[in-house]
Amino acid sequence: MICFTSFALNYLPRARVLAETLRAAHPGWPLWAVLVDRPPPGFPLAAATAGFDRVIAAADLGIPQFRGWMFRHDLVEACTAVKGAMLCRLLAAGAERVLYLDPDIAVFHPLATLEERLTRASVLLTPHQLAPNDAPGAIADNEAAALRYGVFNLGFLAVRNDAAGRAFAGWWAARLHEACFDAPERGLFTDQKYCDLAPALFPRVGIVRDPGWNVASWNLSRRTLAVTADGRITANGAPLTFYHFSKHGGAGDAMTDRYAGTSHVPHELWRWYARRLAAHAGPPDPPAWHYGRYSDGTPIPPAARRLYRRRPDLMARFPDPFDVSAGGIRDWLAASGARD
Amino acid sequence: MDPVLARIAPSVDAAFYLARNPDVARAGMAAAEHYWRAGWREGRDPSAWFATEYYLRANPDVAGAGLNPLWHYLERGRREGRPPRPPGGPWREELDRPHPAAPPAALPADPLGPAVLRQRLAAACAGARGLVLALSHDRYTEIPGGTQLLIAGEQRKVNGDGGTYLHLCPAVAGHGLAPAADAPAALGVTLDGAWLGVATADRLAAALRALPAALRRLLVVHALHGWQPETVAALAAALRPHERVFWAHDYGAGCASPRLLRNDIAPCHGPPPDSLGCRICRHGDGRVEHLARVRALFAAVPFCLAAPSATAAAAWTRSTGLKVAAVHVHPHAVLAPQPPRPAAGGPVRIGFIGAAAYHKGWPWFRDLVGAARALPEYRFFHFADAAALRPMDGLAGVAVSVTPAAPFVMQQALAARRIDLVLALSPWPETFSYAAHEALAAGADLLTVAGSGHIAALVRATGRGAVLADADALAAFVLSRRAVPLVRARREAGRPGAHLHHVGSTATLALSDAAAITDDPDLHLLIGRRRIDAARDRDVFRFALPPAAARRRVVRLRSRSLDTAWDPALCGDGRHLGVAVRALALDGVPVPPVRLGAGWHAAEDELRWTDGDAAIDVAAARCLDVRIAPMLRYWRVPLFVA
Repeated sequence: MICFTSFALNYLPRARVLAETLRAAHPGWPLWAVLVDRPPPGFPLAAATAGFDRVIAAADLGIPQFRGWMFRHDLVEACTAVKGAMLCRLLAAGAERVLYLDPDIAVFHPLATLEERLTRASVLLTPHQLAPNDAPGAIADNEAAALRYGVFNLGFLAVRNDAAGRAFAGWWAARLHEACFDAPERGLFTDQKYCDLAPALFPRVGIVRDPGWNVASWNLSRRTLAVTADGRITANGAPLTFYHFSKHGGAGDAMTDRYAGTSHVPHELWRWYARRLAAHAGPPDPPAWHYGRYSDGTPIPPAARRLYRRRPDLMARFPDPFDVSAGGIRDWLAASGARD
Repeated sequence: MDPVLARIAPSVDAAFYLARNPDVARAGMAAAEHYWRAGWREGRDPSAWFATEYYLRANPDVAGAGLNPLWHYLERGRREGRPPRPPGGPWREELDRPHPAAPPAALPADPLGPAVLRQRLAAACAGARGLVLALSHDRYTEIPGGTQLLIAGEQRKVNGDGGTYLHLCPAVAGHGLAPAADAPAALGVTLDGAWLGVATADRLAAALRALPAALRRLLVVHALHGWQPETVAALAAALRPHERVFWAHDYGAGCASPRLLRNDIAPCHGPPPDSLGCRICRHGDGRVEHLARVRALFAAVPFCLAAPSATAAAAWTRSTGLKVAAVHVHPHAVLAPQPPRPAAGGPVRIGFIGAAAYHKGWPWFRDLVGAARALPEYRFFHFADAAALRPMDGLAGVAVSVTPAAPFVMQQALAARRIDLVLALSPWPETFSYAAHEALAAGADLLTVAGSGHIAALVRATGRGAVLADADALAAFVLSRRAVPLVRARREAGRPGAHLHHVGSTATLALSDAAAITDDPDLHLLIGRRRIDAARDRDVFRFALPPAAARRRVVRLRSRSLDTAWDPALCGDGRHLGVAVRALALDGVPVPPVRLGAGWHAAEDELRWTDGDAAIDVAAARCLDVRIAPMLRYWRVPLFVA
């Protein structure tokens, strides 16, 4: 099993928690990091990423016209867009099985059945929801959101290196290269919404229905967490394999509040995660996202990205839109008075 | 009246609000009006069940509209399912409570030199039946609490049996173990109840090594919080104790969370230290090292475990995994049942004893009072130190301070208020509950929860009260008025009572058949550091006085003694009583009162009591006769008997 995750430096503490918890559960599984960022001079990247076996920069994934392509994405889009390319690269290099986990996941009990599951399936996905909700608020928050943003949560993906697995990976990577955007109005949501199609388009796509996998605020309404007297953590009675601390410190706080109910275990996990993040925080503080700024350090407005990705003429005219040393796209945008 | 004020006023808990906000109380404003005008904008809570800041934070629409949050909750929020405080229940408050890294409390640096230390210890041990070296986490003479009270009683009994009691605590208080360090630990030293000062562990060890080999020596560990186990092992090596006793007052030997509460909120049962339960606990990070250090201590010092209840012994053994030489269950107090007394009628009177702390189950009691105070069937009371009372509407606070000088005032206060039920809602396996015993002694029954350890066991063993599955079930039991017929039935049978005897500490612990009670006063003389025993003929003790007596003139008439405050069968006036002397003669001539020094109580009729250590000026006499009236039975320390 080869594992990888993908993140920018703002998520480094989260990724380090993933690394330490995955390592504790599966000491023998190599873990790669795709860094969708470029550290500023003097940033102690090697020390900060010591928990990973390999770190590969997104720029080194061989993505064609990388800088123009990268400019089309905001941070979340970019970190998810590279997953397809990385998956294909690992499969091409001969990895038998590849596991992707989001950087804001922490592993608890080992993914004991993963290898066996990958003998019966070539692609494994975890649905956001495994059981219907009944309260109106939970239906809106969880089921309606899944209809909008995707049935499956792409914080987890496992692929076996066989014909079906490679077919899926190639298709997914191509779609992500083309349009890995947060644009639900167009039926798109980053790398995730595409995978609604996967069970129909490909054979041997397995759906993991284990309640201990990918527990998160969006399915807490239907998962009961407990800690046993011998110190195991369970979700609906099954070992808690991994928890997705999505939007920790942000909207996830309120969602956890809303759906943990009277159970204290989700809150204990949430606070444990805060302590681990603090333990893995800098110095130095995370630098601003390298691809969020022009070459002179000024921020790139979201409107500029959205316009650029709709306009092939701009892509042709500004193949490296980050470069504003000679004015570049920023001057063009100012002169044209372009609005998103 | 403003309609918003009118709507919220019945839901503002005036007693709670004014106690929390003394500035409002001082200004003489009504609580509801203050909350309505300003309090909510200042983030003050109108009651224990409504969290103003939380409600505004969780409901930006309310905050944005500038609405009074309590009014919004009562008018709309409740119907819309918006929680009035962070959801979850009492554990949530505890989890959200900040844990500031307060600078540790340190005892005044008052270093004791090695010579002083050796001299004071040698003087105290002269003629002593034995030495108890007791270790705990703080100064038991200064800090109120159950363990501290137990140690105070233990010291009194040891002294009463002619033993010396040396108590040490870390000079810097701490939770969990103190980190291992190269420098010797600084320790607070209390000798026979008197504060000596701070000494380093190496100097104390040297003083212990200098003690006479014949002295009977006991090591007692009551608590390890704030200690380096390595220091305990070094002191044990210096003391070379005949017996070593480790008390299971809590589970701190196995974890820095001494009550086996994961993240200080959830019963954890002491799982393996490498378990995920420990990983997600704020005390889990250091538990592997904690256990390794304590295991090394127990390997170096073969302790007997003394547990105040069978529940504690089982939970301690299971959760720590430590090997001990033997396990002894020795309760701190026992109840001697008394005939039932007639009971009055009226509403069911429900009490809570002690600090308003999570680990005592306070928040569940508080919420129950909030939910049930309007029911005419009940009255609610809180018995605690004045500073620990938490006023709220519908709850009568009763200030009670249990001290070594007044160990029985709690049960007296409970009996005076005719309490029917005491709620003991500890969410952890209590090792021993004084409060539960005080309740039963006062004639109240107990309502408790299954996870309360010794309390639940006590209810099952005595049949006095009920054990509910959890705090929710207990609240339902009260709110559904099922508590009413329970109390009515026991009132009809009369209020059962009991005498509470504080019997259990190391001073009464017997590892063999040795009894803890004796008629023998062990009357003897101490001349300097030399003990002189008497030729006894029934109640007359004849002492042959050696020439040294004439040189010193003053000798000490010593005996076993009792602290009357600790024995409900005695007068309870707080005096120490040694022997009741009927007659005292030097060379056959009665001794005039002028020759009696310190340690004599005022004469009563034909008797004069000593306090166990009474001075007599013997001048040049050769013979002292003491006739006593044998009136007492004394505690003796079985562990002093080899």
